[in-house]
Amino acid sequence: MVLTARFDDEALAAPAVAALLDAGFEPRSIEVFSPRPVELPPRLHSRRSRASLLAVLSAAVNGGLATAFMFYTQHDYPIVTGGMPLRSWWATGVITYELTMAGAVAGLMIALLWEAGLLRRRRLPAPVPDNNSVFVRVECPGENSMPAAELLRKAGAAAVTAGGEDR
Amino acid sequence: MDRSGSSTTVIAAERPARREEIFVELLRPLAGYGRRWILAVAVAGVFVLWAAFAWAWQLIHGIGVAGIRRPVFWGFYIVNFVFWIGISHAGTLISAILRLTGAAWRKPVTRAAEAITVFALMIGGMFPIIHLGQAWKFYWVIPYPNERLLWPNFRSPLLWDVTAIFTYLSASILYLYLPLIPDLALAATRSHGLRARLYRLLSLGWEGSSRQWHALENVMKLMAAVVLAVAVSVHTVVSWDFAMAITPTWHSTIFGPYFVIGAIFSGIAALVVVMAALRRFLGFERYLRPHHFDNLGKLLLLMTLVWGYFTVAEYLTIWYGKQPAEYAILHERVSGAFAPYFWAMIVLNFAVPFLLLGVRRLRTIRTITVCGFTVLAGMWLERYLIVVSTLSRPRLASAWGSYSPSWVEISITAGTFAGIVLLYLVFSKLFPLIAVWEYDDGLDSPVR
Repeated sequence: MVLTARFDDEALAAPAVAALLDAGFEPRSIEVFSPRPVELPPRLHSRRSRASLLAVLSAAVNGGLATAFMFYTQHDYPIVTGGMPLRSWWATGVITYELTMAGAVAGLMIALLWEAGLLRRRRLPAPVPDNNSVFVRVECPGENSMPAAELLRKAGAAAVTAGGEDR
Repeated sequence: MDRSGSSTTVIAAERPARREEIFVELLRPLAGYGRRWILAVAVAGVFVLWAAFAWAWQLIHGIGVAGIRRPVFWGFYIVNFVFWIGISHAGTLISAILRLTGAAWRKPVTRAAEAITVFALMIGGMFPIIHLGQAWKFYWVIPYPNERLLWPNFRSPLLWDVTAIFTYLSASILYLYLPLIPDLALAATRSHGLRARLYRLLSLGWEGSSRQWHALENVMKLMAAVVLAVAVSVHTVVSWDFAMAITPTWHSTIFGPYFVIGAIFSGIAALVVVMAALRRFLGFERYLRPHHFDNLGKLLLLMTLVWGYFTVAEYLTIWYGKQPAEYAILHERVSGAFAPYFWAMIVLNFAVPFLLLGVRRLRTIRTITVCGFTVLAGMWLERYLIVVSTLSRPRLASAWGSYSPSWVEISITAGTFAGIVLLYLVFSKLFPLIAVWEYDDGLDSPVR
């Protein structure tokens, strides 16, 4: 069962979410939809973001591959360097740095797409909040829907609708 | 707010109406094409077309139609390259610094700045290709297996440039795009037809869920840190195009930071000019307020002083060292053929901003905008002096020469200034120039 509650004041969304979490609803079953970022209990997003890890890994891989490729090309076609080293960390360091950063940027973009669930088919249609409304959606087993609806109403929901069965 | 909290109550009561007003006002420029907009596009378009004709002329007749001759083999094209790459620091660097430091006043400023970055980089990145003469051979810098078994020389600073600009352009486009996603989703709900479809496609399925907001804010902070590091490296790499050559006045250890400082300086100036234009022509007086200009004016004043410090450090060292080759160039700049440009640069970059921005009573939107223009002109002259005066006075006095740009170079230069205006005009009709959700997020912020 999916319950969707509309709040006409975004300040009411945080206490509503806190009440649901206190009542034992899983953070991953609760979602808030708003036209702008809303202050919510940190417990709702207790899962640590992997964006920085992905950025570091992606940077290391891209920088490493770029360096390996440069050294390969310098070995593959050894140009006359006038006594200077054929493979030079100094002279190739700039490109290593730039492509390491390019890897970090790509990693961050992938992290955003993944963590924000963008470009993915939606299981449930999202409510479209207008300028001043915020929606709180909670997925719960049928027997918990009545208490959840009651909690949301008590928290100040202007309307609570049931529907959008989990397929 | 008084003790009873009545002002909070008033703000809360007015909030829905004010939000709707903000949404409508900030999205208004996307709808319709006014007479002024069409006229501006037409004028900028004529300049751009003329520049395209000049470039085509050069492609057909060869690089000889440009004014570059031995010993001045880098002229307007490289001056413009360095200048525009410098301007590109407006956005990403300033926006990233303000985002990382949590400056609340940045909100109406950042998108305009980030857009400058992308456009200036696109324009700046064209100049090395124009300068090649045989532009169609540009792909030779891309490493690909070929029948001659050759690879690009990755030890060359020119390859460093290509890589640095590629990274910076990619990062800047994403840095502009990511905070645009929620606004695109919003714009999609308020438009129709092809435009709505385009916005929906570009918004990547944004729903405004708390997970999405959380992920976006987290990634934007990390992206700001990365972009900051890339932006500093890019202009350092551009400076190394010069500093890695054992050429008098170029072979300097402070060239990296000197270029970065100059880039931030000209970047802030460009941002001030663009903000003044948005305020004047798009009616954003309510959003781009005097305190935004005042804060940018103070930043510009700070950079004036830092630029002055670096310039003195650079010139004093040359003067004190009295090495003949370097001193000859210094002499040419200060009291020789380049003296008018040098002193104009000092007046435009230092004297005028120092006076107008340093005296509090004189610091108004108008004077800050004037300083923006003077700094842009002064920084272009600085790039001109670095490139042309040095090359015209090589070590051998018998090889000294001069440079005067041809109509082709002047046309292309003018075309790029018109080009950035044109890109901005088109951008203003496709995307909101002030981040709607960010501005709205700061509705109750004490400093707006």
